[in-house]
Amino acid sequence: MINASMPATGRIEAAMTKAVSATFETMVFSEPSIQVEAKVMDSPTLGVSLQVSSPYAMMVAAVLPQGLARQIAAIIFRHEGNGDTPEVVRDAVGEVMNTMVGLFMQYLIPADQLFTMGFPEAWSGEAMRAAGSFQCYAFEVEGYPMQVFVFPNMSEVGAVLDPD
Amino acid sequence: MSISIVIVDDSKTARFLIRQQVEMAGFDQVEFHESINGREALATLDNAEAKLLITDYKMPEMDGLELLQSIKRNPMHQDLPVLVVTSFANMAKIRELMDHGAYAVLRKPVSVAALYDVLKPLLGPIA
Repeated sequence: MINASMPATGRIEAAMTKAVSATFETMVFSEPSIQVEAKVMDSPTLGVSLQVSSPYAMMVAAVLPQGLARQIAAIIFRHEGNGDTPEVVRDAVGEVMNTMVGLFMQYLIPADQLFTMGFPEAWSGEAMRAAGSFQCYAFEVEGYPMQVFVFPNMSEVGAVLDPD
Repeated sequence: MSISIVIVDDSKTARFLIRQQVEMAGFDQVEFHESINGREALATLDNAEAKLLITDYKMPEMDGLELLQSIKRNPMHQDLPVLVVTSFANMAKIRELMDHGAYAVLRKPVSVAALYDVLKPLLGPIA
């Protein structure tokens, strides 16, 4: 149930920055740096989205080069050496995204308030065209660019995620 | 002698990370059983002498809360400690899960130190 208004942009940015840093430092042993401007990404890219349904309806999506996606999986599965199949790469980035959005929501809303979110969904990054109202946060991770989008208005999300 | 732990998560990555962190916490004499949702975990429990079940909250088919409730309703398994590891772990969710009988709730990303603190009373001192 949607029963709260969205926080101010500044609070969203602070929560997102903290969530991205904590997630990558713990899961990938990497310190993301915040970028003032989003850099152009080399194709192919991977997009992963996750919907939050309460207390606000919004979508969070990340777009990153496939090279970074593969590197994330390789770092996580370093001892097992099976981090390079497309399925494992998508699963690894999906779990990173799931953790990141969970932390983002914990930083964003009061601790005594429940929140609900869906499952991570992977897309080709090229299919994730930024349309409608969104906020974009740019990071550099392991020398690669990564962009995180917050779409606060779910009525506009359908136009953004048209699969190929 | 090894002890048996059931790990339940729909993500292969999450299951791998939990397994790795249990071992990094020093509990290396462990036999792991993995399930991808609550329904599969209940079947696994019928065939494994598990000492602990570690589950995600958000899973398809049967989520962590439904699994926890099923375990606590079943006289065969109701004493089994259930550790919930979830991205949803703010105070409200922790309270809800503890009210339903969770042994502990840890927030993703899990630190080895937090996992050790939770596991030590259950699994005993590291040899």
